[in-house]
Amino acid sequence: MKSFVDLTAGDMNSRFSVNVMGIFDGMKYQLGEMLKSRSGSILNVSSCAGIGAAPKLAAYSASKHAVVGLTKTAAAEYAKYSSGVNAICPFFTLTPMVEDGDAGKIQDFLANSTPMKRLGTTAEIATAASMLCAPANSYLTGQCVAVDGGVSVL
Amino acid sequence: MEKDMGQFEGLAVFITGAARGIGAELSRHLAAQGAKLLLADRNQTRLDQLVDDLSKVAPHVKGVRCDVTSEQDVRAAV
Repeated sequence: MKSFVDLTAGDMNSRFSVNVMGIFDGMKYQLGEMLKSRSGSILNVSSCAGIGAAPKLAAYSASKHAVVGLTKTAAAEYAKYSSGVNAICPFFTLTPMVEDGDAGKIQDFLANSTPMKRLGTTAEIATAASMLCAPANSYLTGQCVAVDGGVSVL
Repeated sequence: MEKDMGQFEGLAVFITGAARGIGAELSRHLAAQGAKLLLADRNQTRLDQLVDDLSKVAPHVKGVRCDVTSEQDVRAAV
């Protein structure tokens, strides 16, 4: 975690290299295959930080907002050739990255800030993700769905 | 992991960041529903472990080392 004014171009580039360019390249080549087969779907992982503010996480938040932009734009451009391009936007989830990182030190505070008073598990996020990209879910596209224990409704 | 035939039976699914966290959980979830999985991660050790685990209960699981910061890696994997 870093204050906005302490962020460097290197911090931004490093975050965008993984969170944005990694997803951009994956989508680009996957969409190419979907154009050939006229089928398929994409599910990206954004974040609550991609649909709202995330103090001390400006680089992360900006990168996840970019994922939302890529998701919605690809959904609009390729709606005819896919059965959905969507994203999930989880709140802090009980993953090794969160538990071992800075957020792990304020885990109780984060949990108490949610209406459900707890953080989500990876199983809960995976369940939501699979629902969104399930073949039967064929008329949902361009949506970035918060999976956040109710944080986004506050 | 119990086999739970679901909507993903026989469908090909490519997952990046598959070896840890949400990616690993989603991989387990879809393997249980019969998906054909191609799992990508830059950490070969963790990836091999996950592929080994899932292969015990799911017949179509493969891993590919992929660093998503490399366009070449991503293109080759897709």
